[in-house]
Amino acid sequence: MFIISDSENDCGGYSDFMIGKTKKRLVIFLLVPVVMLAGILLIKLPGWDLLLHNVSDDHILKIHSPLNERIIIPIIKEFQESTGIPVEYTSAGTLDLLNALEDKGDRYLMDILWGGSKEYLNIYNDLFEPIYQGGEEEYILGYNQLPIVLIYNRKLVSSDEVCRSWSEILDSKWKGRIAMANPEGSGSAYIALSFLLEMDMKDDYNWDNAAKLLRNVEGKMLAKSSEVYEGVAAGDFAIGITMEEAAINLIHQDEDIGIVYLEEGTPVINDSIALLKDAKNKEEAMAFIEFVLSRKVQTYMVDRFYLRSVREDVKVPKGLSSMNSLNIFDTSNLSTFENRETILNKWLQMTTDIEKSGPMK
Amino acid sequence: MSRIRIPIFHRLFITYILCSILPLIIIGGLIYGFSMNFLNRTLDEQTMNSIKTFHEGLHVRVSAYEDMIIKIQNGLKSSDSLNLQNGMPDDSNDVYEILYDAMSGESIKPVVHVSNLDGSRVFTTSVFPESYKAGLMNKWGIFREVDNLVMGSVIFPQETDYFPEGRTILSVGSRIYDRTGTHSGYVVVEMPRQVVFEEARVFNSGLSIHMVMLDENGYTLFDSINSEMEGKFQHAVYMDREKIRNHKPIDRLIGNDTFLYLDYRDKRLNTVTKVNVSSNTFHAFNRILTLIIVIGSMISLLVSVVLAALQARSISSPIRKLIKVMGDVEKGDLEIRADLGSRDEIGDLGKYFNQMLNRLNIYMEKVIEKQKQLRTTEIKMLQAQIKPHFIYNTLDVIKWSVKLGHQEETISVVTNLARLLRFSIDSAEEFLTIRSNIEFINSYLAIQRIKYNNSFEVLTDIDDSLMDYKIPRLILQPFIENSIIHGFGKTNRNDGIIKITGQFIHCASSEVEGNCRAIEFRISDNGIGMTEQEIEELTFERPENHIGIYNVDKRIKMYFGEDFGVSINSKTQGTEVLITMPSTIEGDLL
Repeated sequence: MFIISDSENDCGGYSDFMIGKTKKRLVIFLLVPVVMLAGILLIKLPGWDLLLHNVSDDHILKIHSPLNERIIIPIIKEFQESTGIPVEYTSAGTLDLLNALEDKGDRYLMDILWGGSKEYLNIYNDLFEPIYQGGEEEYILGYNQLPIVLIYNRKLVSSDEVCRSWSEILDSKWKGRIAMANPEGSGSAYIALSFLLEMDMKDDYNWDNAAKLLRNVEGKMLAKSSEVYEGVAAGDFAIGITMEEAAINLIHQDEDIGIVYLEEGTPVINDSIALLKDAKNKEEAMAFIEFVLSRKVQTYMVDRFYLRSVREDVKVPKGLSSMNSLNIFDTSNLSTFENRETILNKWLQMTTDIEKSGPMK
Repeated sequence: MSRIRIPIFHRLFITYILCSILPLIIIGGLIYGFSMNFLNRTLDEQTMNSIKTFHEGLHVRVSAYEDMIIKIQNGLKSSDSLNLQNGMPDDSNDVYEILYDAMSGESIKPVVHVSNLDGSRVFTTSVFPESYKAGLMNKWGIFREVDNLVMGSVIFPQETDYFPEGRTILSVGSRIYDRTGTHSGYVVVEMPRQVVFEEARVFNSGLSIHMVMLDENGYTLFDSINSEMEGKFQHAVYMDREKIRNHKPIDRLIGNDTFLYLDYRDKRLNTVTKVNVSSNTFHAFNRILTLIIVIGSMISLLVSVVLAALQARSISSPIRKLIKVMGDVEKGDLEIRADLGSRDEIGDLGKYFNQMLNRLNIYMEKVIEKQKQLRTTEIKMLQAQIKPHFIYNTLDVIKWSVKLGHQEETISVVTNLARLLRFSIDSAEEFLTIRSNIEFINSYLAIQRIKYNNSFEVLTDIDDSLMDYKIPRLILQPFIENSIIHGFGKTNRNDGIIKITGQFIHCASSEVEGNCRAIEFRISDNGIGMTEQEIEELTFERPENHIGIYNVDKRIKMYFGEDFGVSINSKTQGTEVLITMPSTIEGDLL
């Protein structure tokens, strides 16, 4: 009796255990797909594919340029449409770009630096790839020329009254009436300052001129070059030192603006283009350089933006006289580009001194 | 392997909660996933359809412009006004008539330019842009495209600003041929932004939609939100902080808010339309759905916790009660009953358990009753053993008294015997007070004194407070009788002393602690005493001669248990009997 019942119990217990185990397995087999399904549904929500989506950077020509987007956009648009080469451009001030060049080290930043004065870029020659142009090896190619001129608002100043020379600008009668950009940020303003510093230079730079200029602008310099010609056109200032291109644009927009090529000489910024040594898209970059220097684009720039071409076979912009008739000052003679830092430091010192001494008498 | 013991309550509780929460979470998750997927697909389709409708609308416009161009081309075929030779009459009014005639069908007037090859003769419904002047001369932009195409028209995406007409974003251009079939000029029809804006109304579905139209190189033609991006490249990079802030390419605006991001390439217009459906709706829906699921889960968790606790308790608590009752029963409490208060199977279990207990009790009672009966029968039998023995002896005394003519003594004996008989016959009670017992003993002694010629003396010292306690009848008498008959009877002494003391003692019983008090009687004599063997015989056997003593011990033990009874201590000079009983007034200790 006992033996039988015991064995029965054992059997029952064992089979129960088996059933329990298979049930557990069944539950797990059922649960796992359900949980997975729910997970998949959640993951399939929108947004994931967007995160996974990546655009490859291959063969996009990278151009850094301090030029106005007004100029950059149509030229790049035309370049892309006629060559099919995709372009990505970085627009920034000259000094920001120079700082970027300075800090870049071995990093790849761009294929082409488009714009910026040749004198500035010369300092970074070792970063650039030489380009053979007409048999000559050149690091930096000029693609347009920007003379520095004095502009005046005809409504505020008559053409008889306006100053004709650099030394007249320093006359105290222009105190508070002259607009000038900060040489720290503006290439044109720096060249103007450089010209004044080297004018009548003896042993040292002519800091007296700088002081007079600072007195005339009352220690206040405009942040951007554009503020100079816009300020003069709007009548905020009577005269201003800026680029010829800006002035002629205003004149063609029927603003009452006059241009003066100053007697002592007209410094010219040679806007340049340079191919980077570590360019990833050299072929595309060369195509762009050729495009920019082509007769078609050069003529378009003359016609559309009144920029002076570097090409002999392209005529002078409408309303401007030829370079030969101007008293051009060769800016490559200026020593101020190598000493930029010390000059700017001293300039900054003078500016803060004036601010400390309060309003000038 | 030792198994962890999980109480049934916890198991049920957890199972109930899981059973109520898991389906909700799974179904909630599924609904969430499905509805998000559904919403996504629906909105995707809807937006894609909107984009297609939008583009179809633009195509209709462009086709209309192309028709317009054909009209203008046909109208100008016979005109020389584009290449006006000196001396020819100025027919610009006719040209304008052709232009406006061609435009007449359009509700939003496009900007139309007609120019000769170098731009020296221009007819325009607005202002001929500077860029076109330079463009014409250098075969720039649309003029380059038109020059590359001999027949038909070119669709050229470009943004041009006019004052006061506003922007145009797409130009359709073609050549103009003069009557000799020579290429003599260009016609350009430009689509105003307003047209795009009107066509983009198909997107007004209540969703927050950001739509941009780009050319294939990422040049922005139309931006429904950041119109200042129009005419700029999407992928321009800036270093100036202000410019970075103002630069808002649609790709950068894609972020957490984005619900849908669609790309549509229009091969005819050579444009790419990007639509970023921001997720206000999606987020709201998402939030509501999440909220519903979370709150639903919370509520159902709360409800299920309460219900699970109640339900689990309703099952486990009766079981626990039953277990406790069973434990009590196991300890011997048969009077306890399980009150489970439920009407289900567990209630039945309790009910049947109670019935089982009832049955058990009935059996027990029956058994006890039987035992009681048995005992009573035995006691009665034992009591009955005293009476004939004593009566026999007394009658013997009476016989001798009458024979000797001791009338007074005879009267006394008979009187006392009568008293004794009444005592034992009248009173049916088992227990009598000590006082009654003493009275009975006195009567008995009166008889025995006569029988034994006053050859012994009886000293009684019983605590007064004891007098009202009840003890079983005929407890003390047999020992006194024993002393008289066996202690002195066989000697011819006449200085026998029987000492009877009664007092309270603290009982030795371990069962009743505290204020337990027992009554101890001590009956001693100075008779011949008993041998060890005699005592042993008295205690364990049932000797014929000492029937009364055995009887007393047996009775006390039957009434009060093994802790009480009689012990005999005998020397050659006298015997001492100790009788212990629990102190009880009512006498029913059982």
